[in-house]
Amino acid sequence: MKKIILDFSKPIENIKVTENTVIYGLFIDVAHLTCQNSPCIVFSKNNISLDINVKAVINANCVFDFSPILKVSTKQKGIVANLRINVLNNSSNSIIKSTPAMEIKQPDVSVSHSLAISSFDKNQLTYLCSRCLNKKEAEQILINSFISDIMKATKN
Amino acid sequence: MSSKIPNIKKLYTRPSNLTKLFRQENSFKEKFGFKDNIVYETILEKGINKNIINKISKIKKEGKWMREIRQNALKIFEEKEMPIWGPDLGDIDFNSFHYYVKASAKKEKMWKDVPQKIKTTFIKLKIPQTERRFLAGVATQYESEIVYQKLKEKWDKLGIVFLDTDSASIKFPEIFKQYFGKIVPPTDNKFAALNTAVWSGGSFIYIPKNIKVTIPLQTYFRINLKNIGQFERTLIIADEGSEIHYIEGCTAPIYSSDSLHSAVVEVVVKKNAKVRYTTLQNWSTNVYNLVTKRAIVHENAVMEWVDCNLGSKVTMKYPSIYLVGDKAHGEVLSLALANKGQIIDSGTKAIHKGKNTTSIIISKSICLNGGRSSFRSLVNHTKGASKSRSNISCNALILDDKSQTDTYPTNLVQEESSTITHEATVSKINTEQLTYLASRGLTPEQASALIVNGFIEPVVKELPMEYAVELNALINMSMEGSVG
Repeated sequence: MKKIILDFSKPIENIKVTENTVIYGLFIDVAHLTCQNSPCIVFSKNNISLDINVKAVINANCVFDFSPILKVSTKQKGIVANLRINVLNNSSNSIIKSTPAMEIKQPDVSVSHSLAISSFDKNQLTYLCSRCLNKKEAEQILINSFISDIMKATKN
Repeated sequence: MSSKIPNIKKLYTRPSNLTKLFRQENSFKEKFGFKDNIVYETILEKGINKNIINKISKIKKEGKWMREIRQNALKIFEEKEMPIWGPDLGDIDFNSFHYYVKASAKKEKMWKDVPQKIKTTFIKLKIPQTERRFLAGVATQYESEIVYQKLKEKWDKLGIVFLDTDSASIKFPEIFKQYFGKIVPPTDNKFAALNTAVWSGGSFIYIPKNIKVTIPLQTYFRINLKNIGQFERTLIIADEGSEIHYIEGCTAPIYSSDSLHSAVVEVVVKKNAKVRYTTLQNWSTNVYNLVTKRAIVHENAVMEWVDCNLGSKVTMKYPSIYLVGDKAHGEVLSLALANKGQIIDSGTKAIHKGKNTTSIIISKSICLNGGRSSFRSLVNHTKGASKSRSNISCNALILDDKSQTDTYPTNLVQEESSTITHEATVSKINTEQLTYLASRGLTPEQASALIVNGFIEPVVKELPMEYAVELNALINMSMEGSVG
């Protein structure tokens, strides 16, 4: 399976999917950084599966705007695509925007996307603090856990 | 319940009955697409200009303040560009429509006094029967004006106001001036400006403090003449602690030339109040349906939009919720069915401004025979809307490769403690389900209709029984011939 890693420090160009593919994206902010990307993902063959897993950790003043668009034309049959965007927001001075769009012209597909934007789970933080970790350490553990699947997949 | 109302449980379990039943009485043309030969009292010439605005204002015997609002809105309409996003509206020729048409000389409170030909139309549409069965109040708008309106005495005594908007602007000018054009100003978009310039008819509802209206108020809109624009203006004010359910339905005959329906709906939901606004839109496929609907929701109040879009040539409608008070809650349930030649561009907007505000958005869309359905939403958790939560769910069924379905959900967060979750799916009808139903003796058409009815069930179950049955019938009519 082909693996693509999105590099948010560069403008993300359009992506043409020619075989079964997994796309990973990880954005960890730096203060006053602006990330604005709107990749257009198209398919060039039938019966392709695509899994997109994007995670962002927002800590400081920054703008995260990730708005991909998935397009399936009339000719592409049997496409199975899933787009997941998860944002961990730990900043009250940032702007997080996402428009995961889809344009589907073929019925023989199964396309889905999901998005979640939230801050740290208070229960998890409380539990970790009750185990003698200070708030920063507890938050770091939660961040590590949040991004672990992408870190493992992109280790090499 | 009347014996004429089919038992929905039976219909679900015996789909062959469902198809048979609705096939007997239904084809769109017979049921909704008929034309009436009415002698009109007033038909203003086609086109929009200052002269037309002044004529409308004069017919309605309006004060100077309203005439100025109309003239100012006309300027804004002329200056504003057409939307650069969404469906192509380039074919609309604003000078090809009549902006004011009046069918009846006066509004009637007794059904027997409504002119016979108009009455026949609404009898065909089952309005008086519907009222007799369960509704508290019914208003019917034919072309530009309300022709019949009635509110049960019980509600009248409690101080509930249910009037056509024209009468309300004269009877309650203070409250009218306070809210009219404040929630949807004419500067909002080109079609809001157009409506403000030429508005006529619509409903004005005021529910006093702590009054809970337990049965729905209803308005039915009918376009009969060809090349007509219908521009009703609806204003609903639910005072503190009150509750109301408002239902509107719309139909029109089929013509080869286009008609335009551009309404504006403004809703104010005050502290602890609850408003549900249900629409069953079934315009014929020559009607441009470009509507602006917005609700301001105050502290601990609830606003629910239930929006079913089945008809029209092009629909652009995004019922909005502005959650300005703390702990305010908004819900949008929308259903779109885009058949041959139709573009249904619907969605919603939820703007969270108060703390601990919540919103739920559920959208179901079906496209077939070359129709196009698009879901467009904006959920914005603004700075200060701490601990706000939103959940958006958008599911689409695409039934053939001539059709298209799109989703454009924009999610914007500017507050650390807020949470948004969103999910969307696009798929065809599950073949395993089809095979199973076929093995139980259903034709592919019946099986598809049954699956589609199951798919839209989260929206249908929120409708009153008669509307749920009507909606199922319309869906089945649309599904006819869609398989094989």
